[in-house]
Amino acid sequence: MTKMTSDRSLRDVQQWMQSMIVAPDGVHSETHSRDDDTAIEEFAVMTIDNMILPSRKLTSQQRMEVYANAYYARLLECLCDEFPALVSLLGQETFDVFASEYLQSYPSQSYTLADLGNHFGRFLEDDRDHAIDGERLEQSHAWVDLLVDLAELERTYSEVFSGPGIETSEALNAEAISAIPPEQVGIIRLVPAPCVKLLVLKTRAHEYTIAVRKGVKPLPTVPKSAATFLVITRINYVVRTIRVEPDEFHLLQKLVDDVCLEQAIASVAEQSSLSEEQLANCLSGWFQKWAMDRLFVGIKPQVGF
Amino acid sequence: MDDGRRGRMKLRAYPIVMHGVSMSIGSTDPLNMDYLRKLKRLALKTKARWVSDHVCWTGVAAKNTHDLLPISYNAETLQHLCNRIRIVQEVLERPLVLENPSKYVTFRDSTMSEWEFIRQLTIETSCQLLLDVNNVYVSSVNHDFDPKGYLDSIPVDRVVQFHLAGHTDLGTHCIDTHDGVVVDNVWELFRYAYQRGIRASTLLEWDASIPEFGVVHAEVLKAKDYLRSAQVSDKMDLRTPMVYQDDHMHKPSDRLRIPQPAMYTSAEVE
Repeated sequence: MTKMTSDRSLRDVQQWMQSMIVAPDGVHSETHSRDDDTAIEEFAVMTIDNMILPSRKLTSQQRMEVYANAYYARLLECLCDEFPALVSLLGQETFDVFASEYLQSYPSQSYTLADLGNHFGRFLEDDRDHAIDGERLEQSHAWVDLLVDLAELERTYSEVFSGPGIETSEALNAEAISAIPPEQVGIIRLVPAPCVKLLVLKTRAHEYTIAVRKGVKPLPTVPKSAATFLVITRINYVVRTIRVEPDEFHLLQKLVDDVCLEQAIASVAEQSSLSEEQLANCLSGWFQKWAMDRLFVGIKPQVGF
Repeated sequence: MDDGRRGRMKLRAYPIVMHGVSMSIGSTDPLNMDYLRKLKRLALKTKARWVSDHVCWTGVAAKNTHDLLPISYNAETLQHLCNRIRIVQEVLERPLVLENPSKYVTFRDSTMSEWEFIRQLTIETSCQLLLDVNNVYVSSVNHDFDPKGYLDSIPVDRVVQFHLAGHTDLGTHCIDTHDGVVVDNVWELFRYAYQRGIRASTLLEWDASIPEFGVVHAEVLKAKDYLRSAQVSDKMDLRTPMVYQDDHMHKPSDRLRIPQPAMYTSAEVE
């Protein structure tokens, strides 16, 4: 059933207007953003001409186009700012196509633009089937892997930059750990800094991303497939990328997952190809490095500790 | 940053006011109480003098367009906004300050002018006003009204801040782009508002194509000059009609002009 002009409510008007300005083909279009199909059908009589007055110099449609043009332009600009490496790799035009489709699949539902790119990596992953070339299967998958890696990495940068940090608090230092009675060291659990994120990528996407952000010319070649283990953190409001070895990453992951020190080390020892002595040496170096990088901020209290 | 941690480092030395674009006071979706509670918490932490947003809506049906979308000016919308302003003021425990946004469409449903609508809002809710003089000018071009008539209707005692900004004149309409100098017509309106008795702090918005600090600073200092000149020209005829000086307008470049807000803070990465 369609609404008549006389009984349209403020909500009707807002749903109509929103469906017009987010329509991917502009306000001329008969097709509309997927979520708004119902609204469009219901408000079929709410045409631009009977909703909007013309001005002296613009028609009603031209006036609506100011909002419609701005919607995609504004959000694409924000996504370009958040994903500069993807823009560089894909080129502006191709990036805009991906980003426009992303905005139709995942329209913003947050009060903040900081959340706009939340699902971009997932969108690219979900879109993998469309990007796969059957004749060049391996290259196609590697290409999508790289796109997804770049999106996840750049999104992580945004989250670490905007999220909680340790700029005004103390990090865990070696003295704090050495003060723990030896018989209790094994059962301690470490508190990771809230800005620490662990990321496993299928490519060395970070090298390309950082080069783009630093404006390096010429850019490094497109990264090839290689399992890459990264720690992303923030020190003095600057996001830092730390590449670590698989064993170190494994231990960090266990500790971040709230596993006690003894069990975390045992888990690494079980999977590692390092000898017991080599691992002991590594552990010493890792803990010193983590203290310098401020990856942990405290020790969880234990019963009787 | 979401909770203002970084900003708080520099806050101790300066009085702070909070200005947002996400309250969506005109939307028919429920108010975002989580957002309002965060605003209140931040306002308390920063000792903000006031919290302001816009007379607009940003989205409906749980979507956010991140634009300052226009409302129709009629009794239903007025009642709707008044109800929501009262709720916001209860949550924030302070008067809400609302800004007139730039507008690009006029709804056929509107039964009153923007300035009548805003005046009624202040009377019914005791909210305060952030008078964006550039937005008054931009809307006056886009909606063919006399901007001085608009200012004549604004209750002078409710205004707590002026906003000034540059805009882009596309010939057929103006867009509020915040990317250039304030044009002469807007300065004249600013002086007119002062002569009408509006006394409020002034903020220059220049948040796109930002030039060297000295250029921005010089533009800010112009505001003082205009206020000074307003004080001495008390014999000036306040109702002199606006003369549109197209040669001083900000001309568009090739880049698609995006109406404000269009702000995203990129991460600093090493």
